[in-house]
Amino acid sequence: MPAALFAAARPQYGGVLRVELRAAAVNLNPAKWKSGSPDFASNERLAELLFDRLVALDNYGRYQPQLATEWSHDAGAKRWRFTLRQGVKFSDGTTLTASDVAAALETQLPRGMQVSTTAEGISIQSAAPAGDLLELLASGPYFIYKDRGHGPPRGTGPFVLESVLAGAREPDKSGGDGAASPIERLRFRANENCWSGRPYVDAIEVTLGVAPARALLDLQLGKTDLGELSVDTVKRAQQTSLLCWTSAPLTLYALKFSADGKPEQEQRLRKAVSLSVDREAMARVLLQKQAQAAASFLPQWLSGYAFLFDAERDLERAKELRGKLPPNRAVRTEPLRVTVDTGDELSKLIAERVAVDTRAAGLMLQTVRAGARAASEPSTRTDSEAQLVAWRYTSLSARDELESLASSVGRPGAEPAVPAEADARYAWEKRMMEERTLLPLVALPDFAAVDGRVRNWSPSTWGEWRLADVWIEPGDAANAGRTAKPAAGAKP
Amino acid sequence: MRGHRGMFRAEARRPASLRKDVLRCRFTPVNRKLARRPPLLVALCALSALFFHLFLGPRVLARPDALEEGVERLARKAAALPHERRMTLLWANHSGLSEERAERLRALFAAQLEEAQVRIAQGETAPPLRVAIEQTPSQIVFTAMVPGEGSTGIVIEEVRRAAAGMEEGTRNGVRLQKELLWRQETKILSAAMVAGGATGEKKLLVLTEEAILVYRRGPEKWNLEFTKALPAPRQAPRSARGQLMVAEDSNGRVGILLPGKRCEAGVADESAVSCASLATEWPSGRLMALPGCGTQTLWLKSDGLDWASEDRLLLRNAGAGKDAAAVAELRVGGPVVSISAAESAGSATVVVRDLGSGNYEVYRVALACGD
Repeated sequence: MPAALFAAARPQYGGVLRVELRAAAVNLNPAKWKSGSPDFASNERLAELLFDRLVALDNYGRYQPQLATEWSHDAGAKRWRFTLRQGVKFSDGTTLTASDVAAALETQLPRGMQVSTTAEGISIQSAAPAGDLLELLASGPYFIYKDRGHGPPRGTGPFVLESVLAGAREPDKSGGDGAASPIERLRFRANENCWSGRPYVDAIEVTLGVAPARALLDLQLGKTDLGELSVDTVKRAQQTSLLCWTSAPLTLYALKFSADGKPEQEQRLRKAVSLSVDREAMARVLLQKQAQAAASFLPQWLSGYAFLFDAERDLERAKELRGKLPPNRAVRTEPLRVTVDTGDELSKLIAERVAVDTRAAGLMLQTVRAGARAASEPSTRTDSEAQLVAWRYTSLSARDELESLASSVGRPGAEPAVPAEADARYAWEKRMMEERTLLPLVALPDFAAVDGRVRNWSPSTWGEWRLADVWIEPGDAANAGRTAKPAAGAKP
Repeated sequence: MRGHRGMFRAEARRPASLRKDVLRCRFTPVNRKLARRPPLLVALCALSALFFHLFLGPRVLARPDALEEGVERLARKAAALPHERRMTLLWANHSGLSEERAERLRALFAAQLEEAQVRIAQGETAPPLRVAIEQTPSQIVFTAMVPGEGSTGIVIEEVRRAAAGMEEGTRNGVRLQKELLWRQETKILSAAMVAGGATGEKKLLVLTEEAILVYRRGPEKWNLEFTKALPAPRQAPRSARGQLMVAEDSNGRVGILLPGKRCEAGVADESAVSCASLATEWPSGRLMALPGCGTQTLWLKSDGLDWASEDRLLLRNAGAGKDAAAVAELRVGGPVVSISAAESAGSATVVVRDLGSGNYEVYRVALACGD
C-alpha cells in the first residue's frame, strides 16, 4: 500500500526546535510576573512549555479541559467547582493534588476570589458574579505549578527545563526571589510522561536577547526555526519563503499622565494632545500598516466594542483648546515633558511622532529618555508630566484586563469595580477614557516567522504559540545533523 | 449559568468515575492521556457513553438558540432606550457567523423590535439603528447603536461562542460530491459506512479515542445503536490515531487499526472489541470505482501536509504517480483526518476537522459523472 504521501501528512517525532526571542531575560515563576509588563509575553510563552492551566481556550471559542476535566458553577456564577484530572504528575514525579492547584491559584486570583480544595478538586468562591472565570483561568499567569522555594517551579506541562546555558543563572539563584537574571539560552526537553502525551519534538532550544534583524537572518540561513520579528523585519520576512505570523494587536502604546491631574487646565491640555495626534497615520505610515490606531484601552479583538470609540484627529478643536491654556503652555515656554524608555526604539519613534503632531496644534512636547518602564510600574511626577508606556494585554477576560489597566494608572482596586456586563463595561471604559490619565495611541501585534519545516504551527491570535503541537518535517542534510533520534516507544 | 456545564448537576451523587466519563464525551481533549482501567470501568464507560448519547447529549452540546436569545435580549434593551419614532436597521456581521445565520438573526431582531412597538422603516429615509456582530476569542458581541433624542444610545450583548455553536458553510466540488453525515466536537479518528445485517441497512461507524460508536440510519437522523470501548493505550499519544478497515465481504465485522495493534469488532452485535499486536502499514487513501464513470479505478487521497491547513481531496488514476495531475479535486474545510470505506466502491467516508469551527465532520464523498 503506498504510504509515502500518507506518512508525509502525519506528525513526526524527534528533532530540536530552535527558537530565538527578543527578550534578554525571562522569569519562569508566574507569581513574579507583572500585569501589562512587556516581558510578560516571553515569560508566558516559555511557561506554556512547563506548566498547564486548568482550562484552555481553543481557536473556536471553546474551553478545553486541561488539568480540570469538568467544571460547573451556580446560578449566580459566584461559586465554581473544578474536578481535577487524576494521575497527573509533576516533572519531579510527584502527583498533582488539589492543594497544589489551590496554592498556585490563591496568590494569583483577583481580590474577592477565594480558592479551596474539595473532594474532587477545587472550588473558587467569588464575591461578585464571575461569568468570565474561565477566560481568566485560560490566560495570564494562571498556570498550575509547584513552587518549591528554590529553583524554577515544577510543572505538569509537555516540557521540562533541562538546562540554562552560556553563563546563565537560574532566576532564583540570584537572590531566591525568582527575579529575572541575565540568561542566554534555555533548553527544554520533552516530558515523556506528560498527561497530554509526549510533545513531538525532543527538545526546544531558546536563545534569548536576539534582535529581530538577527533572528530574520538566522531564519534565512537555517540557523533557527522560529524567530520573533518586529514591524520592519516582518515586512522583509514576508518577501521570503518563511511562514510569517502576526497576532492580534497585543501591545498598547499610550501616553500615561499622573492620576492626580484633575484640574481643568490639565484636562484641557490632555484633551488637546489627544485630539492633535493622528493615530491612523501613525499606524499606517510610521508603523507600516502593521499596527492599529487605538481609540480605547481594550482592543477590538478583546472587547468586541472598541469600534465605538472615536480617535479621529481634530486639529482645529485641539488648537481651540490650546488657546484656553495658561500662557506658559499656550505660548510654548514650558513644554510637556514625556519620558521614553531608553531601551525601546519603537517607543521613541512613537513619542517623536506625537511631538510632531502636537506641534501642529501649537503644543510643545519634549521627549526625555529614561530607564525602562512599563505602564504597570508606578509613575513619579518628578520624572516628567507624562510617559510613553507599553501595555501588554495578558488576559482573555476583558473585565480583568480593564481592571489591571485601571489599577496601573492610579485607580487602585479600580473602584468601583469594572462591571461584568458588556454595555456597563463599555460605559465604565468610556468614563475612564474621559479622565485622560492614559491616552491610547496605537496597538501592535506580535510578529514571528517560522521555517517551512515546522509543521502544525497553529498559534492563537492572542499570542499562545502552542509549541508542544508542532513537529519538524525531516529535511535535508543540513537538518539531519540536528534531528535527534525519537525516544523509544514514542512514535505514533 | 452561562457556562456549558450549567448548574451543579443531579448526577453529582453518582459514582465519580461514571459522571466523569459521561461529561468527558463532550470535553475530551485531543491529547489526553488515558489511564489503564479495569474491565468493569470500561463497561461503565461504554454504558455512560450510551447514556450520554441517549439522554444527555442535547443538554451539554451547544445550544442552537443561544444567539437568538442574545439577540432577543439586545432587542429588548434597544427598545427600552429613548429612540426615534422610525428607524432603518443597518446590520453588519463581522464575526465568523455565516451570512445566512446573521440574516436570520437580523430578521429576529427586527421582529422583536416591531413587537415592542418600535417601527423599522423599509426603504425610507430614517435615522439608522446600527447593529454590529463582532467576535472575540470567547464571545460573539452584538452592539446596537440606537438613535434618539439627539444622541445615540448603546446596548451590548455577549454570547459565548462555545454556546453559540458556530457553523460554517460547505463548498462544492465538481466531480467529487460530498454529503455531510455527522458532526461533533469530540475528536473522530475515523469513520466508515457499512451495510449491516440481512436487510442491508446502512450503519455509520465512528471511531473516537475511546470507543467505536455504531449508528443506525433512522427516518431523519442517525440513531446510536451501541458503543464499544477500545482498550486504553499504554502511553498517551499526543495525537491519537486510528483507522477503520471495512472489507467488501466483512460479514458484519470491522477492522480497527490502532498504533501497534489491529482490533476487530462486530457491527451487528454488542460483542467486545478484540485486539492483537500487529505492526502494519496504514492505508493512504481509498481506491474507488464507479461503473457508470468508466472502467478505471481511482485513488482518493488528501494533499495535506499537517493539521493546520485546509486540505484538498485529490482523485487520481490508480496507476498514476503521486505527482500526476488529479482528475478531480474537492476542497474540504480543514485537514483530512481519515479516508475509509463507504457503502459502495464509488464512495468513501472522509473525516475532516473543520478549521472554521473546530468540529470533526464525517462526509460521504462520492464519484459523480458528467455534470
